[in-house]
Formats: sequence, C-alpha cells, structure tokens
Amino acid sequence: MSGWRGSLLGVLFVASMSSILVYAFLGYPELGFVRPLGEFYLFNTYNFENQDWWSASPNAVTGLLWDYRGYDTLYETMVFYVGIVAVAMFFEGHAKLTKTGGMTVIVRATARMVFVFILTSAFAITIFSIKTPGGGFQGGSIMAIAYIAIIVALSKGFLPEMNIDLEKAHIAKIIGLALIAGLTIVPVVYSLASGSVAYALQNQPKAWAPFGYPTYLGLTSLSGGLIIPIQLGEMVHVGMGFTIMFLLLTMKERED
Amino acid sequence: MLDIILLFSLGMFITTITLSMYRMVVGPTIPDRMLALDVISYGLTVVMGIIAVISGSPYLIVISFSLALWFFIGALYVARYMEGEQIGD
Amino acid sequence: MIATIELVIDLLLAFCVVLTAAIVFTKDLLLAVVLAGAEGVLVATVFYLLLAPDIALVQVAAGVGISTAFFIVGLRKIGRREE
Repeated sequence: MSGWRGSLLGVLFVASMSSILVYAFLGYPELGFVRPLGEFYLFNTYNFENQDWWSASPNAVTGLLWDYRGYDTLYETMVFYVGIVAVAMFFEGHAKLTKTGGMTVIVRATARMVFVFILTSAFAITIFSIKTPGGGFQGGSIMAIAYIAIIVALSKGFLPEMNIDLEKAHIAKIIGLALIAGLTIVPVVYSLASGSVAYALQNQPKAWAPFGYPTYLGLTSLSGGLIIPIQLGEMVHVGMGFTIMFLLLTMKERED
Repeated sequence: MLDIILLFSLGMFITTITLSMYRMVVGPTIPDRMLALDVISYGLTVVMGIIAVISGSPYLIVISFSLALWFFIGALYVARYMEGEQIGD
Repeated sequence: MIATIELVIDLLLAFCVVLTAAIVFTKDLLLAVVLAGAEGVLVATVFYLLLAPDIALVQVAAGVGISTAFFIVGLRKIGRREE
C-alpha cells in the first residue's frame, strides 16, 4: 500500500465520493421553490387561523421542536448523554486541575474579555431562538467554545476560580437534563390527575387535548410554550458535556 | 448610491478572500495558512453582513455578529501547539 | 441573482474537493487539521447561502471551535508527522 498505489487509491476515493455528491446534488429542487415540507410548515405550525395545530414560534426549526419533533431531540440528547458517561468512565480518577502559566499576558487578557462576549452570545442565541436562528445545541456548542478558550489560553487550574470544576459541571449537566425530563412528563401527570387527554411532550393545546403551556409572554409577545426552558436545559447539557470531555481528554494519562 | 458602495465593497472583500485562498493552498508554512484562514473568516463575516444589508433581512445579520467572536480560536489552538506545551496546562 | 448564488456555491464546493484531496495526501497532520478547519468555514458559508443560518451556526461552532481542539489534543499525544 505504499508509493503510487496508495496515491492511486486516494485519487479514486476522492473522485468516486465527489461524483456521488454531485449526483446527489442534481436531484435538489431549485432555489426559491417552496417544497412540500415548507407548505406543511406554513399551513400547520405557524398559522394564526389554525391554532389547533400551531406551536406559537415564528422560527421554523424551533417551531417544529416540541409538538412535531420532540422525540428526535429527546433521543439525540440521550445519545449525547451516553457518550459523555462513557468518556467520563474511562478517564475518571486522573482528574486534577493544576494551575500553571498559560499563554502570554496579551492572550490571557483577551481571552478573559472574549469569554464574557461568547457566553453572552450563547445565552442570546438560545433564548431568542423562537424568533431568530439558533437553538439549544447551537448555544451549547458556543458555551463550550467559551470554556475551551479559557482552558487553552489560561489553564485548567483557572476553572476552579470561576466556580467550575468537574463535579459542578456534572451537576449542572444533570440539572439541565432533569429540567427537560420534568417538563416532558408534566402533561402526563396532568392527564392522570384530571382525566382529560394530554400527551407526553405536548406543547400547545389542541381541540381535543386542552392542556398546554402558556402561549403568550405578557400580552402580545409569543412565548412558544415552554420551548425556551427546554432550550436552556439542552444548552447547559451540551455545553457542560463538551467542557467535561475536553477536560478529561487533556488529562495526562500517566505521571511523568 | 448606497447600493453602489455596498456592491463595490462586496467585490473588494471577495477579491481579498480569493487571494487568501491562494495563500492558504500554496503558503509554505503553517502560520501562513493559519493567518490566511483568519483573513478568509473575517472577510466572510463582512460578506455575510453585506448580504444581509442588501437583502434587507435582519435574520441573516445575527450569524455574522456572533461568528466574528470565535473565528480566532483556531489560531489560538495552533499557536498553543507550536509553543510546544501540553494543551490545557 | 439566484444563478449567481448557485455559481458561488458550485465554486465553494469545488474548492472543498481540492481541500479534501490535500487533507488526504498530506503527511503533516497539523496541516491536515488546519485545512479541515478551513473546509468547515467554507461549508458553513454554503449553508448560509442556502439560507440555513441555524446549520451554519452549529457547523462553525462544532467544526472550527470544538473538533479542531479535540484533534490538536490528539496530535499532542500521537505526534505530528505521519510515516
């Protein structure tokens, strides 16, 4: 597999993969064409005259979140949780946060300032995700980037000064998961208690299932039900999960 | 008038991005390529903002604002690697 | 306008193919990581031009910010040069 044979194999691999991708791209509809999925969205999820089916959120992706795509997000969260538990089981016991120098003073000062900006933008992207692009996973990735910047530019030992260590990160992650789980089973408990129909992961009231989270925040501002709390829980889960993974992967495997 | 200025600056930034792409493919050392990637990223941020202004859609400006905050972080990782230190110490 | 955007998307994807070939053939793994970050930025631009800002956000956050960090931590453990 050395010499020209390896190169030929690489060329063949790249050529075949790119031809497959070009072939897949040929089947796409034209830009600007309203696809059937878009029509379904316009008729059902954000239609003020058809409030039996809507989810009270102008953003398409998060509007589909609970009433239409809830189980998808639930199982994504579960897969992510299992992955982090596996990494933590392999690397636990070597976790020591020692404080060392870090990079130069210019980079350290810049990283501290940018940390605040990145964390603020993570919260903004998550909370305003019912109107502007964003969501829980996006906000969580950005939050993880803020902490990774601190770890790289300063050091791992700087995290306890910011009231974050491995145990607290695990606790915050579990609080986020518990928020999601609790909001998921509230409609079921309501249904068992009152005798009316309600589904797990139900967000807005339907004609035959009157339970629903509040539609409006104040008088006119759409709240999207409880999409904002579930996005906040997802954000804390994903951000703390990536931070824990990065911390555990940067641990030394043996003392030397 | 504003349209002409916007289109002119769009063309300028696209030219910058193209030249930086050449430097990123050809550039002899790693720091050359990393700086070229930074120039490409910030140019793309400005291009996204100009497209949002031209199309008049406020939803598209959100991303360019927030992307400008963490494009620099790849350069931070590579600098930390080339210092020869363990990452995270 | 739409034809121009399609042309730009095609050019970006063609450049992505060039970058992928460079990543496959290079012996310097740090160079491969840098080029993978560049490819992430270009793919995010394609998502933005296809009017999917949500996906572009998560592509840049995960492709440039997080996976590059993980790869470089791995490079510190296994060494920079490929045999």
